[in-house]
Amino acid sequence: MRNPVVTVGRNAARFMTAYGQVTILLFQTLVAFRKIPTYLPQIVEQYSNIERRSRPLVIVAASAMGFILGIQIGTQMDAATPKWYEGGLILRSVLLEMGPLIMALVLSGRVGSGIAAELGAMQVTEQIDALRVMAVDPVEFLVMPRIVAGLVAVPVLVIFAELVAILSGYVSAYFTIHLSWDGFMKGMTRAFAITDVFASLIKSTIFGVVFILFGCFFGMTAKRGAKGVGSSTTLAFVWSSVAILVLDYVISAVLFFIW
Amino acid sequence: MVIVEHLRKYFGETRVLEDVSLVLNDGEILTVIGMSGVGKSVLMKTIVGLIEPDGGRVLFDGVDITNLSESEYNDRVRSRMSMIFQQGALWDSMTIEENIDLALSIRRNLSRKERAELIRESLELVGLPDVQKMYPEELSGGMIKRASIARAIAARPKYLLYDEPTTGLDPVLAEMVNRLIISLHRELHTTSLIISHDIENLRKFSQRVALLFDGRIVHECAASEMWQQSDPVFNGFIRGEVGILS
Repeated sequence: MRNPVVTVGRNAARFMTAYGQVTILLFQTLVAFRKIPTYLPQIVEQYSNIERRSRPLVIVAASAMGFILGIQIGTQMDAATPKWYEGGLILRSVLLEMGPLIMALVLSGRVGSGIAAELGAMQVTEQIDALRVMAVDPVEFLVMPRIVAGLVAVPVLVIFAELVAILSGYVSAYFTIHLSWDGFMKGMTRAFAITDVFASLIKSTIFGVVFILFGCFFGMTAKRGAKGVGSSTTLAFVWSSVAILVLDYVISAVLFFIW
Repeated sequence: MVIVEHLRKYFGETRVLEDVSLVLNDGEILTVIGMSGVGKSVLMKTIVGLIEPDGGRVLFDGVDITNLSESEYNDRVRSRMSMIFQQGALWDSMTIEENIDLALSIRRNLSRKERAELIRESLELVGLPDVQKMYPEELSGGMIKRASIARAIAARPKYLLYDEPTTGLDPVLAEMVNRLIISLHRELHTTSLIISHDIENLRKFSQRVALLFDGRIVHECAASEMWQQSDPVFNGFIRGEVGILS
């Protein structure tokens, strides 16, 4: 039987090593930003992969999120609470938490795992070694374009998702508590703060970098054939989800104290 | 000239290379043979800088390249050395033309027109003039091998490293690749290091043979004289005698 102290120690060491390697990869990627003009075609291609191909999933997820919020908030409100409050509650819930967090988790599954699978397949078929042999830096060619594309695409997708969610929320509130459009707008106008939009953009940008970076890292370190590629996609999703949830709390707390 | 001196590589507790010394002379074709898993690919990847050795050194045209940084490796070694991978390792999201163009554009400062000409020439040299717009998934195994050779030779490197170029090919395609190695050697005056299991045809395309066994190069000889050697391990290996395992 294994000594539990040794097992915990080994896992902790692996965890810290992996986070250290991800941090190094992040710095290498930042250094690679100087090559943006060289790899512009790859960045445009990756933007299309991330943004355009994620739209259908984002619409479905955001609609579901809006409908659920509309029902849950509407049914929780008692008779003494003005109905128009729901507009503001939906707006702030979507902008501050549900939009960036749920979309980051959804996109982590679609985009992050997809990147891990693609780069993992490249790793196990020696395509990444071939890049290095041909003097092409894999970080510049594979990681940097995905991160740069994600820096733009993820906030765009999240803002788009938030609009869809808010509209779905209104439809849901209309059928749940018969809230009028004017009432919904009144609630949103009273609750609106531009800082909420900034918070949403900050979170979505950071979350986007996190799941793309983890996708790249686990893909590029995939081992042992098909099993290794499968494992890399799972690890990318699990690690980025945990990191996103922890970061969501940290960013929310920091922004709460700042604003 | 590439000189490998006392190269050592372990993966964890597993010993792969213990004390490998080897000389690749300018203009020759040297083939390294050995059992599967003995470390032949590790040796090749160490030479080209994909794997960091635990000990020993590699001299490339007189310069110790063992501890170079990635960018120094690119400038000093990979600009003059190419490797052909066992499964081709073509980048499957790109056409064959884009594959070769990427490998070329990074390593040589050429105009688009000059690159296009080199791509056309390289594909003609390997007998694939019409695959420029095709993707790797549209090619057969033999075509992938030849396309990957075209990618490797496009920048006209001085050194070519082949990792099992005929493995997985039928005898006809294997013979075609062997002939291609010889014709490239003649036409481009390359120095080649080959890893191969094609013992029967080895003397057709290789000038010298070295056996990697138990973490060391245990025997070297001219390929034309390989069947007249007295070394028991070398003889046992090329004749497929299971007894050498003990």
